[in-house]
Amino acid sequence: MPIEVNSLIKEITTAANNVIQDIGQIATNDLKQMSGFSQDQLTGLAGLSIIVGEGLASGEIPAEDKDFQLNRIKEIAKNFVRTLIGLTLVTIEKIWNAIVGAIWNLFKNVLNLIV
Amino acid sequence: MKSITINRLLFWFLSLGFIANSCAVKLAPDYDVKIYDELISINGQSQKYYSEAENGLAFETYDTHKDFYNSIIGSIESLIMQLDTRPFPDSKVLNSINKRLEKEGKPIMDFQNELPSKSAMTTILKSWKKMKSDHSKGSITKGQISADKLAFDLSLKQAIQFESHLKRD
Repeated sequence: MPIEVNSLIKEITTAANNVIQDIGQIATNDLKQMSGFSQDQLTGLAGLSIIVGEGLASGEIPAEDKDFQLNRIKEIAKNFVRTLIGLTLVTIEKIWNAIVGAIWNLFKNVLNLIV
Repeated sequence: MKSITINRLLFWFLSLGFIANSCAVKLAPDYDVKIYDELISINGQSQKYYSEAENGLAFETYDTHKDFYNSIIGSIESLIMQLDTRPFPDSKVLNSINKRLEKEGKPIMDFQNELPSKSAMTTILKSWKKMKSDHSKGSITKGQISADKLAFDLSLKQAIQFESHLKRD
């Protein structure tokens, strides 16, 4: 059973272009979100450190709170990293599945060419 | 037009097709609108408290706030239980990542129990429990409220950012 090479090449090229566009879109959107989120978190963590530092120094935050406050800042920073990892995993999942989905669709389209 | 014999090409495409069909991965739980809505609700209630408490809270006001503390703590504990019990994908990919980290002597990540939203809400829960305890014994200063509010905002944003990102579309 012959297969038309030109049609096959066209299918593959279209699929490849679509995947590149999809991945580009996913990466751009997700990176923008993550960048904005990171900026907000880093600014906030810096701000919290200042509030706590000045508060402890002035007595506005009781001295007995020191350990709790400092441990909380550390926890929030660790959670920030966990969040970035989580966001990245979801982005990787989206990109991977976009590629795999495109291969599967290509496979089905090529089968239509063959049979 | 050139013809290619089908056998080799068909074999290649069949293999690729079967691989592609079974290779889609899931690395994180599904989006759950109930969890997202609960986060928004907790945020709303908390922001109301911080607004009222902006200049600190006198010890005498503890009784009027007791119910709120119990309610917000209960809501957060309930949400953490929801986060704990929702289905988590059994992913070979995540296991391989941890094996690789272990091999390189790096700390492994317990993806299921250290989900960003759960860690963030656990931090918030500790803060509310401390706030309730402190207020039951004395007044809350303006400085404590400022620190608490910012800590809350940072943690809640982490949870919301992650949970909304689970909506893959």
